[in-house]
Amino acid sequence: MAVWTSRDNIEEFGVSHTESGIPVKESYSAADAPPPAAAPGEFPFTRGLRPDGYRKRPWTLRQYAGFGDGRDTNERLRYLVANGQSGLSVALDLPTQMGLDSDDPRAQYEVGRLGVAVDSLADMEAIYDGIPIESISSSFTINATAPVILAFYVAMADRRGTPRSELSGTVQNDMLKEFVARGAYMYPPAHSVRLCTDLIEFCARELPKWNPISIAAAHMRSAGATPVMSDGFLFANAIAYCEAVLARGIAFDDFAPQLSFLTSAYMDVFETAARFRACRTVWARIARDRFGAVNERSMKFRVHSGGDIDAMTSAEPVNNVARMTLNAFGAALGGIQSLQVPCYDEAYEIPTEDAILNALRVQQIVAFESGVRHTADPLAGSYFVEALTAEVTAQIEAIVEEVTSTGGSIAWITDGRMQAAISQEARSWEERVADGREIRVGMNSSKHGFGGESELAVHEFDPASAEAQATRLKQLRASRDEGKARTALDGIAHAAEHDENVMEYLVEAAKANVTIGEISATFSRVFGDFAAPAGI
Amino acid sequence: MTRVLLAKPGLDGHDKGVKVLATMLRDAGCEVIYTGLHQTPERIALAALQEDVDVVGLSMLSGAHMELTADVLRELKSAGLGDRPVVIGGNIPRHDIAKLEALGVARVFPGGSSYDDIINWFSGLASHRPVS
Repeated sequence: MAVWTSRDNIEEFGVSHTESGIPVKESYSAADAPPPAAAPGEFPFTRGLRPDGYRKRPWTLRQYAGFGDGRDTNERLRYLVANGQSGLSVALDLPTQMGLDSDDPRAQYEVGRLGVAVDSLADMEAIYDGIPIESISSSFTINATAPVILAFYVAMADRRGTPRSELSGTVQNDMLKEFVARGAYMYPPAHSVRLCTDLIEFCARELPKWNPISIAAAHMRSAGATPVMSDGFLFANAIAYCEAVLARGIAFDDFAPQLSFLTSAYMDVFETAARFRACRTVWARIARDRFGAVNERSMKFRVHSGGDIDAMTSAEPVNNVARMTLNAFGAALGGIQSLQVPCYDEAYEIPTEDAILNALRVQQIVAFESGVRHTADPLAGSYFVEALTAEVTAQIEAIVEEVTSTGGSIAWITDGRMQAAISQEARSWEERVADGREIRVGMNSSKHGFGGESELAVHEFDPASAEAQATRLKQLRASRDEGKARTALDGIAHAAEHDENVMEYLVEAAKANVTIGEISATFSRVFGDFAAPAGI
Repeated sequence: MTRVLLAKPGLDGHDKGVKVLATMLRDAGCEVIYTGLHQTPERIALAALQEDVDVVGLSMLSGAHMELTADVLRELKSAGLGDRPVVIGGNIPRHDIAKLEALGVARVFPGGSSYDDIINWFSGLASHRPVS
């Protein structure tokens, strides 16, 4: 018996339910609401991390961008900054995510397609040409190769003479969710978590302003989990990471303040706001009661939110702007720290320049025109939202208890229990969309009419750019000091075998022009490969 | 009983759709083999041969569907399985559907297709094995 609300039994509750299947009553009164929560900025931070909410400054406006090579991406990032974006978010291509060089036969057809190709330090330097890394933060959606990408970034800073202590940003570095969703993994779970932990430990020592992990729910939701279920698994995974770092003898308060999280805003605005309020409450309690945190910063759930990419329809794509707006508004009501919303052409391709600018404008309109920033936690005291927050909190805590008391996340992922739970929800959701019980306006409901496909101008992949990338890589290998590169790779292999932190070795390798494919092949020889159970 | 191979070629790791389809086809009476992620065209053809399947379904959301499909069709042909229908699902732009069919693909179900239509299509396939 599952401890979460499943969409499978929604019909028992009648017609009204939240997106996660929580029943919703005809109306709410004071009798339904829990006692008032502590003020914004006070433990357990249900009402927000800051006493003044967004009054001084809004969340970080951060749209996900990257394609082709370093120069293409540099141009796109500068364009976004010129239009008011306040943080960068770099999309990396699949070969980079999977540890393959751009001239590897397995990378064929994918170089620079869904993100930018990064093979070596030179590519990182091209992406950041003229961008002041000491004053703007960067987020990298990178997991299996997160240690390598961070090493390239740190090597770039070292070369520029930027102190490591000034670097701010995030690497996703959340391998556990890759095995249950998204699938960008290479090594077995225990070795993967070991590399995540090396990175967290390195940042605790060297990069005090860097978020060494963004523990993510959003991808599990995309794989089919309900929003609340994805949040539950997020905290179970977070506990697994914390236990791995603690096992190295590092005190909780020495790394927890820099842990960050990723869970997204979906179409149900009220459940979205309630989920962010609940997540802050749950994390504050885990940090204090489970891990004995004393530092208040360790108890703060700092979250980046995405939007509902899976709700973006190919039918009448301009309608997606309304969906993006609701996502952004829900996230803002929930008190998030950083936000990206999907783009209206999301169902077609990676975004065009027009589509990504529109997404940034949607965020700006919500931030500067809607009034959502005038006061902290504007929904506080709503009978409905407070009752929902309490229910979501209880469900998340029940999921965490269920997973941690039956082996924990690594066991649940290795034997496929987490995948199976998510797959079951995926199917029930798809059936609900298929027969119109869940409405996507313009797409699946005959009552509202069917929209047509649109002849949108979509992003065009340029195969010539991929070839040029592979050529540059070959030139780099031909021109480097081969002895230095070999020594650096030997150092990485030795550290990997002897449980020594690999990070400084990776930074040295980056400076010796060692490539991401060479480093990943070295890890593969030590750790072996892995195929996760599909859970079906 | 129709034997179906469902495969994920390339590096893309998004498999919600293919897993949902696998369970629906199973419930509709098909025998389903799912390869898992990150398969090369060679390995897909080998699996099709070893499992002696009636049909091969490829799920792709990375945008590399034209090239990957051509490679899988080539490998199937060289494995002597050129007669087995290949069906494509995933994030396929409408203007690529005719191009995929011209390559020899039997049917394309782009994002937003109804699962009922997909199941009906598979159910309508005859097994290439004689009824014993």
